[in-house]
Amino acid sequence: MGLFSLLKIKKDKKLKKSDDHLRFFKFLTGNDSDGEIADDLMREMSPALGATYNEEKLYIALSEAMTNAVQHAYPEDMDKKYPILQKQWWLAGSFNQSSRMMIILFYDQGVGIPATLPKQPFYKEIIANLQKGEFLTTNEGALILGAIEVGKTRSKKAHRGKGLRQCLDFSLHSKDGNMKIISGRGEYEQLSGEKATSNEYNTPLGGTFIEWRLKLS
Amino acid sequence: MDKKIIKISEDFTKFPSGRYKTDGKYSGEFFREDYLLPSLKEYDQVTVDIDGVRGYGSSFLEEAFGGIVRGKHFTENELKEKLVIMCSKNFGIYKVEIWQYIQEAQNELDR
Repeated sequence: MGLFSLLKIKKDKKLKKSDDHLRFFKFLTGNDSDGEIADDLMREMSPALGATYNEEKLYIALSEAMTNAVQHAYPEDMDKKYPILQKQWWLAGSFNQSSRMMIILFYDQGVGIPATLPKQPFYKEIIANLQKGEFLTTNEGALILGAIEVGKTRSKKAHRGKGLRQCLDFSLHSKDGNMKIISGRGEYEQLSGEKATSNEYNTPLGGTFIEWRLKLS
Repeated sequence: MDKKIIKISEDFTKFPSGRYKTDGKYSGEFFREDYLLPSLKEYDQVTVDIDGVRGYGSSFLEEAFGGIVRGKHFTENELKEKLVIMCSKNFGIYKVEIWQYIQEAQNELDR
């Protein structure tokens, strides 16, 4: 995946080659919302797949993920217990020729989506919706789910809160598309054709991780 | 009538992304402040051709177009007179979205 070159480590020639069917696309990183980097990944990845996918929706999903990371993930009052790279995000992908599975990964080291929500103008809507659905409003997985649900209907009410929803749109508009978010202590998962689920861990991840998983034809 | 055409993919970028200038180099705020507003102030009619880019996130579109009304530069009705959004069928969804953001920004101001 280019991890060694990213860390400037000389690769050991004795290292075993990974599965021939598995192709990794090099890590990309940035500290702003840069559509050209999303395009770099797609230009490297698309010719290797032998199938098409919704490039426009992936571009939008990555653009909104980057924008969220840069705008919200690293607030000034962030607890910097562990060293972080301010505003930095990382992006990578893989494709398995045998299973036809394409995976895109996005990560930032920020405070996590649940921690950023109370500052958002739509936080009250999320809490009200969770209470209606009898969710625990302190459950971080439920908070992520609530934020995505609010994004569905939000366009008629105010000008924010749709970005996270647009991250999900890529998998929703793809056949056999799935998305998982682990952020803070919360987990959100949308499996193809199923109802979205949420979960909470005892230990926080230390950032936000988004995975899009698509089975191509 | 003085007219101006802005083709985003050629005059601005093929890779729009982000809401504010601090988010990235081709943000909605940058497009509005440095491209769209100066043209709207100078010309009677401005046509924005939105085709040819990789895609538009809601953050970019809302800030670029909804931000005109929110910043009280032009009202929704004035934009209906001055602004033309041009696109192919594939990008028609963005045209709808743009006018929706303009309308929502006006509704928020009128509230």
